[in-house]
Amino acid sequence: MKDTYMGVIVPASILLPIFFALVRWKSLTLERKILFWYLIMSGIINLAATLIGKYWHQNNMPLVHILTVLEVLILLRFYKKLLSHRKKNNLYFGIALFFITLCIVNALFFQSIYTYCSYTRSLAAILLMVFAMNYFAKVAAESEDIKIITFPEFYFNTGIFLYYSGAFILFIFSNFTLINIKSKDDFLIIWCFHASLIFLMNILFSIGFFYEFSNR
Amino acid sequence: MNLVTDNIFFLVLFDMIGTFILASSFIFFFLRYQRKIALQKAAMQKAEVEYSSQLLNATLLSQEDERKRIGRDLHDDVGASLSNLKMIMAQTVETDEAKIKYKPLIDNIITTVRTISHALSPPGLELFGFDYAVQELVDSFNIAGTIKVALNNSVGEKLDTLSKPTALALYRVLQELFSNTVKHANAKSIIITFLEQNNKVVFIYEDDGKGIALEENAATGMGMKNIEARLKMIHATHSISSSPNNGFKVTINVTYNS
Repeated sequence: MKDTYMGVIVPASILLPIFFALVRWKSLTLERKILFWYLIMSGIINLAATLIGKYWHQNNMPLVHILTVLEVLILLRFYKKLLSHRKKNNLYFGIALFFITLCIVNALFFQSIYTYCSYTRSLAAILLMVFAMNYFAKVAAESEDIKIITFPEFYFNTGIFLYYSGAFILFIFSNFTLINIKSKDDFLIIWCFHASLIFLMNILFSIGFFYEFSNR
Repeated sequence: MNLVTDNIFFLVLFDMIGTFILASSFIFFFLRYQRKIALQKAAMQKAEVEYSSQLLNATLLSQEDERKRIGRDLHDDVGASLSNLKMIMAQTVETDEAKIKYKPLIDNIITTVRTISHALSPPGLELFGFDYAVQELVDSFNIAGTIKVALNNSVGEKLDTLSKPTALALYRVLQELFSNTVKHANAKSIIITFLEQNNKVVFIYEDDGKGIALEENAATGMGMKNIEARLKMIHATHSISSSPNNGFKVTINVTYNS
C-alpha cells in the first residue's frame, strides 16, 4: 500500500497541475509558465530516478544533486518575477551563482554525488522558505483591496512554503536517518509523510492553475 | 552518564509534523489577518456610505424646508400684497387707460408668483395627496406646454397612502424628469404610468424624444444626479432604458412605506 502510494499515486499527482496548466496555457502569465517548467523538470527527474533506482538498481543520488540545483534556479526565477524585483537582478544572479558554487563544492569535497546532498538541499529549503515568506510579507504590505485566496500565486506559494517547511527536517537528517533507523517500516513512514507533502503541493498547484478567479 | 536512548525515527517524524503545523498555522493566521483587514475596510466603507447618505438626506430635507418657507412667503406675503395692490389700484386709479395698462401686468405678476410658489412647495400634495398633486402637475404641463402628457394611473387613490417623504421625492423626480424632457428631449409626448406590482408602486415615465446614449451620460448631469439621490433616499430602485433617437424611459419601484 505504502509502495503504491509513494511509487504511483504521489508521482502521478504531478500530472494534475501539468494538465491544468496545459488547459489554461494561453492565459498563463510568465511566472505560472515558469512553475509549469519546474513541474516538468521535477517530473522528468523523479521518473528517471525511479527508473534508475528501482528497475536498473543503480544509485540515483546524482539526480538529486541535479534536481536541487535546477529546482533552486527555476524557483528563484519564479520568485524574481512574482516579487517584481526587477531592480534586484544582481541579487538573484548572486544567489544563483553562490548556490551553484556551493553545490559543486559540496559534491566535490563534502557529500559525494552518490550520497544524499542534505547540506545543499536544506539550504535550498531555507532559501525557498525565505522567498515564500517574502511573498506573504509583500501581500500583507500591499493588501488594499485584494482577496488573497483568489490569487493563483497564493496557492503556488503556499504549496512551496508548506512542502519545504515540512520536509526541511527530513532534508537535514536524511543521511542520519538512513544509518540510524533500522526498521524499514519506520523509514517508509517518514518518506510517506514526505510524499504527502509533495501530494499536497501538487494539489495546491492544481488549484492555482485550475481556477479562473473572477472576484478579485 | 546516562545513555541517550531517543529514537531518531520519532524525533524526525515529530519535527517534520511540528514544522508543518507551524507553517500551516502561519498561513492560517495570515489568512485570518487578511480577512480581518478586509472586514475592517468594508465596515469603514459602509460607514462612509451611510454617512454620505445621511448627509445627502439632511441636505435634501433642509432644501425642502427652505423651499417650503420661500414658497409660503411668496404666496402669503408677496401674493397677498400684490392682490392688495390690485384692489387699491382698482379703487384709486381713475383713468381706464391706466387700468388697461397696469391690471394685466399685475395679474401676470400674481400668476407668476403663484406658479413659483406652487413649484417650490406644491400645496396640492399636502392638502389633497400625491394622486391629486400629480394630476395637477400634468394638467398644468398640458395647458402650458407643447408636449402632450398622458397619465395612466391604475393604482388610483391608493397612491395617497405613500409616505410623505416618498410622495414628495417622487413629485420632485417627476418635476425633474419634466424639466429634462423640455430642455433636452425635443419630445412630442410623455406617458406617465402608475401601477402596482408585488405590493410595490411602479412608476414609469417615458417620452418619445431624441433619447440619450446611456454609457456616455450615466448620471453625469445634475438633474439625473438629483433624481438618483432622491430615489436613494426613499430606498427606491430604478432602471433607465434609452438610446439615441429612441426616446427615454425610466422605471421606478418603490414600496408604500419607504
